[in-house]
Amino acid sequence: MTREVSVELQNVDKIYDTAKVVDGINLTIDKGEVFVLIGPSGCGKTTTLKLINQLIPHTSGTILVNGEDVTKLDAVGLRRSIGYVIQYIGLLPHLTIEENITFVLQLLKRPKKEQHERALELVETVGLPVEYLKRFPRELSGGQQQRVGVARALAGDPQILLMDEPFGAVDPLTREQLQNELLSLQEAIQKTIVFVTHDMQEAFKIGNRVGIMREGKLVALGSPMEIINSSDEFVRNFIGHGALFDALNSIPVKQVLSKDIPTAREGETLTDKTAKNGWENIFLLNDQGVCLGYVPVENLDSTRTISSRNMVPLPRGCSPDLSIKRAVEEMLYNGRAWIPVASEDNVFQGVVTFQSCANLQT
Amino acid sequence: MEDFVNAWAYFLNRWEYLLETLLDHFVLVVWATLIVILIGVPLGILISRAKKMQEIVLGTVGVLYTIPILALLGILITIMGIGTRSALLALVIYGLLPVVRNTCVGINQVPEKTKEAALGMGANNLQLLMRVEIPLTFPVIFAGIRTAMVMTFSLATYAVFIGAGGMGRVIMQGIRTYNTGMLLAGIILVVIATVSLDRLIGYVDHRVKKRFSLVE
Amino acid sequence: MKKRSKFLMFMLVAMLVAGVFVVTGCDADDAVEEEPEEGEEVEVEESGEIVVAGKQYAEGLILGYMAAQIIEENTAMTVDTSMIGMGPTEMLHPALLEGDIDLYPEYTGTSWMVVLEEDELPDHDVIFDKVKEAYAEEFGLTVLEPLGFENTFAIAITEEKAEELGVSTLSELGEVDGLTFIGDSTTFTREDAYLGLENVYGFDMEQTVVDTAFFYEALEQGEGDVTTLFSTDGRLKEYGFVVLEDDQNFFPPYDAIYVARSDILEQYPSVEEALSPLFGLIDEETMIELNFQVEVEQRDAEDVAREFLEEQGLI
Repeated sequence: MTREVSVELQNVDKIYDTAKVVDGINLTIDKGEVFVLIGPSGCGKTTTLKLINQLIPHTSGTILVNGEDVTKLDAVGLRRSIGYVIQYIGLLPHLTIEENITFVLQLLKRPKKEQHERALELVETVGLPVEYLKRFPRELSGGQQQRVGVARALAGDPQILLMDEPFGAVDPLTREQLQNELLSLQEAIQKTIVFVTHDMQEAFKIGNRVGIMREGKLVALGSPMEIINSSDEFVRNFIGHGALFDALNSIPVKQVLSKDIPTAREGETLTDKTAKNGWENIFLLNDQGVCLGYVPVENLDSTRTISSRNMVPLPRGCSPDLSIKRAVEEMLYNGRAWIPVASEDNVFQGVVTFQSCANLQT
Repeated sequence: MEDFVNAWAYFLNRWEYLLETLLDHFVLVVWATLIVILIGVPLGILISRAKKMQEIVLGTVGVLYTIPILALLGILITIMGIGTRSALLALVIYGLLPVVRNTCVGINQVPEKTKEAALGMGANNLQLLMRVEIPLTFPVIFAGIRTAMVMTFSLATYAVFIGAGGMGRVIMQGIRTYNTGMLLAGIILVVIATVSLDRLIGYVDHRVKKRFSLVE
Repeated sequence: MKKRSKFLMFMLVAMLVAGVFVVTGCDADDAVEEEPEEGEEVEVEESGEIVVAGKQYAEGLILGYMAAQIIEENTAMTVDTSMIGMGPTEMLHPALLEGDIDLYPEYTGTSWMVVLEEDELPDHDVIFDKVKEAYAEEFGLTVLEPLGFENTFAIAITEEKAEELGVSTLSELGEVDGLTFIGDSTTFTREDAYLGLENVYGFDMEQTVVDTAFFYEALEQGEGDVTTLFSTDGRLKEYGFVVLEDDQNFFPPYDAIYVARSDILEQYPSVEEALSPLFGLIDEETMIELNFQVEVEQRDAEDVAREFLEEQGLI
């Protein structure tokens, strides 16, 4: 699959008087990826974001959006084609929710009917009741307002979304909810998202790739796992210890399935083929491939026949797409060092263990 | 007490004349306020962008505002002669300050984040002004207009000194002919009218504030 | 920034329009009739509108309404009386010149001093002719025949004071020391007021400034010893002040007259004709009585004027 580039920054600088707020940034953001910019306060991440839609014009370097140089484009038109979500939400207080959502469409002078239909669509997408369209921002909670903010950004169906600490102004519980919703939304709509945050957990949780900035420069760039394995001292200090676990939040268990787990059908006997090194349990599958339970090797009688009679029920399993972090939490919850994995139609995929997770590092 | 009785008698006697004069007065005030709005609001918008202009314009208008009205009328007589035109100009000069200042300050008080959101979505400057800044500032502007209008109504009693009509004529004549009945009737009528006007505008103001509430 | 400057332009234009509006438009006092050009033959007409004005004092109102009523009843003209009670000479004269008003009652002395700005005072017999001539030549205004009374300054003191000082003329008063003169802002700056008294009669008094509306009260309450009133004040009848004799004939004559725009009189000759019965009709006593009815009895000037005309059989 060829990577299509959505946004590209080439040697971009932004200088205010004598301060170089953005210093020689080079990065490409692929279509459909969630790219997170993170760094300490004042590192230039928000400024960098605003260079993309030219809310702030860059001093030197080139910025390409969908292959076109932004300086050659009409800035207003550019912004109408890019979704923009800010931290303080910034809903227009004098407009109803519907009018807020359709704001870009109003600017584009789209017909009223189209606007209304789009509003209905989007309010559902972000999980708000249709009645809310008639309300005013002040009547909504912070979390609800933020959802409206996202809906608003999506109204013009932009390919690119710029999000500047959008979940910063809500409580942690709501924040987590919103993050999860963003992830499911992204799965459905596949936008290119450039996301600025100062929260490492958030960055690793939602980012496909993460860029760490410091004093205007990009000091680290890569997938969450790559960042974690960075040897740069600043980066290691910045992300701190808890980060590893958070990084695991973005990796699904299907990447760490244990290899060569012993499985058998009803009535089969334990042979050298089925007895694998070190494995204490044989997993009993039916004809459809669904796992019925497991048989501890020590339970086998002299016939060494695998049958449902000496089977132990399977503990709760998980989907192959569940993040490692969640899977480990499940393991701990179940009091085991392993967890079975089954696809949507219950077909046994294998097993994930602590060790197989740890093997990720090697 | 006797004076109030006289005032009532005068009112009963000459209520047509009084109401006619009150109407003249009101028309003058309405014209003045309209002009103040036409000049003051755009001016306020213009200077809200430029800090330096703000100081100059607000400073000038502020100084004009402090000139005692009789002095201003005296100056205007020598420049423009007497008549409604001059009275109108004087009233406009006084009415400008609240409107210009409120407009300017109001626009500057629109939260940055709101403006940023609008610009980020692709509003151009005109759209930012018309769809965001002005609607959000409208309550403040309206408050300025309210102040201006009520103040103008009161000041318009001075229009008599520059040869224009209005309730000032009734009051002055009452003074000059030592007719306390006429005088009181005139004063009371002006007071009632001013308070009523204020209440009326206040009601509209209240409705405006509700609709355009700046609370997030 | 193109859209921005377009918008700024729009705003500037809006402001200019509003400004132009103020300067030229909505002048509600404009006279209805058109003004004929200079030197042009004025067509005589029977009916039209005439704007009668007057000062704010009782006398000005009464004389104004008298003129208005006699014209309206006895000619085909309609009279606009909204300018009666308009203001002082300083406003009436420019308005007359502009054509905003057509006729108002004035005084020869005031015309001489305030309008023509002459310093030297001519004799009584001569002043009327001089004013009439000057008005016609300089302003194109007609001074009509005098109404028959003078409203001049009356320097007054209380009865008690008169007895105490034993004075009855201004010369005698001028010799007394330690007195206080009650006046308003114009009193002490006018040649035909305190300044003249200073020159001619040697007045050397302390000054108390109050608004002209309060002269009577101030004198009565002893806020001063002397004040300047008007010889046809209605209140003179009410208070018992003593008016001192102008033994050196200092004060200019203030014969009551009507002044009018010459072109209006030419265009509507019935106006002058209608006013003529008033000339020489009203003497000082009558005027005081009429003023009294308005100022003290608090009657409406319009009613007082009408009653008088009816009594005289003029309407």
